[in-house]
Amino acid sequence: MKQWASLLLAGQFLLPNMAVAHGPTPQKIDEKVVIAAPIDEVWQQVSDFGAIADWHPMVEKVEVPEAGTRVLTLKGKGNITESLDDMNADEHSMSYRLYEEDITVLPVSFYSVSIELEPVDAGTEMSWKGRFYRADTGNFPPEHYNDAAAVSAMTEFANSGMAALKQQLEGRK
Amino acid sequence: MRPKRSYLLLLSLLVPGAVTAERAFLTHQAADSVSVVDLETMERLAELKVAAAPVGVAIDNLGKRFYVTHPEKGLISVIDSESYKKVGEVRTGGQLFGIAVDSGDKHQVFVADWERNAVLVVNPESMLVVDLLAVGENPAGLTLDSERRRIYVANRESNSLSVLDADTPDLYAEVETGKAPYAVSISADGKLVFVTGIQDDSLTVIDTQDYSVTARLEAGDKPYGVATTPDNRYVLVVNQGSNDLWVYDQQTLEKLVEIPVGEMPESVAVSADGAYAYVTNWFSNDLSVIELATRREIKRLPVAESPRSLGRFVAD
Repeated sequence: MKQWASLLLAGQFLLPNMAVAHGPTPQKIDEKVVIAAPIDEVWQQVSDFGAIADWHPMVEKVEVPEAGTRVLTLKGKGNITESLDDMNADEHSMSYRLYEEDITVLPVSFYSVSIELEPVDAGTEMSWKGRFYRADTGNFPPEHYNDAAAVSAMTEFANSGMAALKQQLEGRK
Repeated sequence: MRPKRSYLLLLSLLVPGAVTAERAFLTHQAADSVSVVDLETMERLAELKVAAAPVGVAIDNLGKRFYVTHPEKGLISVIDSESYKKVGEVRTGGQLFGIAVDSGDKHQVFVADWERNAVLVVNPESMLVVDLLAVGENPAGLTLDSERRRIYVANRESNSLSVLDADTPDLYAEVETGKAPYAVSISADGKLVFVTGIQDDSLTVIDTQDYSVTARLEAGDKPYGVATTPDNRYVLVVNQGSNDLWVYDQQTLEKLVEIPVGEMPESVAVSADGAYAYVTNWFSNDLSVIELATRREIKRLPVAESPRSLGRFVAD
């Protein structure tokens, strides 16, 4: 026992720490915006899973290889693929996850996001809730692949999308 | 070791007003803190700063301590469960995750090391790692059956459950589970082990007689924590995607009810009398209290940021 335990330990120091899909410590974002538009109008835009390029300024184009999957091309960066988990029209909520990551495009190794709409006096409150892991899930990540980099990228993606959607829907009036 | 324990026992008899109410021990990943809640009054008894991003917790009634794992730091915080002061730290390296205490004749602590694919055995007296047992890839949750001397470990990336001996370095079985197994719980009678599968929304039921899979049940969206009741009646699973607690009948394995809780629940634990279940809601930062007789959430207590508490986080 002791012998193979030592061997195992030695092996761990010799081998590089191979990346795994998940680390042990997820991060979260909870971003909100109020859009002066009826809930059905906002829902119509966000629930069209393959049409995010129509309103999100960081997304150059979207391809839908099969229903419930979308390949996003982020402007000047490259591709990531997302897959839809849940679409609930009654509750105006949807959730999806990162299916194929590229940490050079977005510095996260995995995320799940839910988008929820609530009617409020001023129109519709849109929430963008994310749970995700940094790009390098080892204990010594470089700065551009650490928790702060992941939180910043996820926050920017959520807020720029919601701001643009708000502008688009409110400008239409 | 013996004299010390007798001394502790004697001491506990002599000191009046020992704590009797059940308490919840919460790890707050984003606040780098641990809090303790009195489950009778629902008041916070303490909150203390610890090392970064605590996750797993195990309560050691024998040593009057509790242990908290820090995967980001490769260490275990050791905290006095009465004064709520940190008494030490076990530095192991790796990414420590699920943890369990053996309070039997052999006082030891088992902890899953996600990064090194191992279960570390720690001597809580010396606070040193005394053994390292190889398991599958990225072990997450684990549980100990201290009576029958078995450790059950969920290997998240190899979709399996390792069954180890609690006293000798023997591996009895590696059982196939659902996809991305996370938490493990054993029935009070020791006959069944339950493992959640995050990526295929499953609850695998394993017979401890021959380590065969009895059933693979459907769970909610992204099941995380699992617990059983002391009367062998219920199995409880919390689902991060569907924000609810599913209650199964432990005998028939039928799902009885879905109870909504807070957002992205992570762990569930049961009171000693089996009357209440407690759920840490990682996203919404609260603790749900569920009354099992009426099958409803009776309270949602706000707590510090990102409670996780992987493990049996409720104790006297």
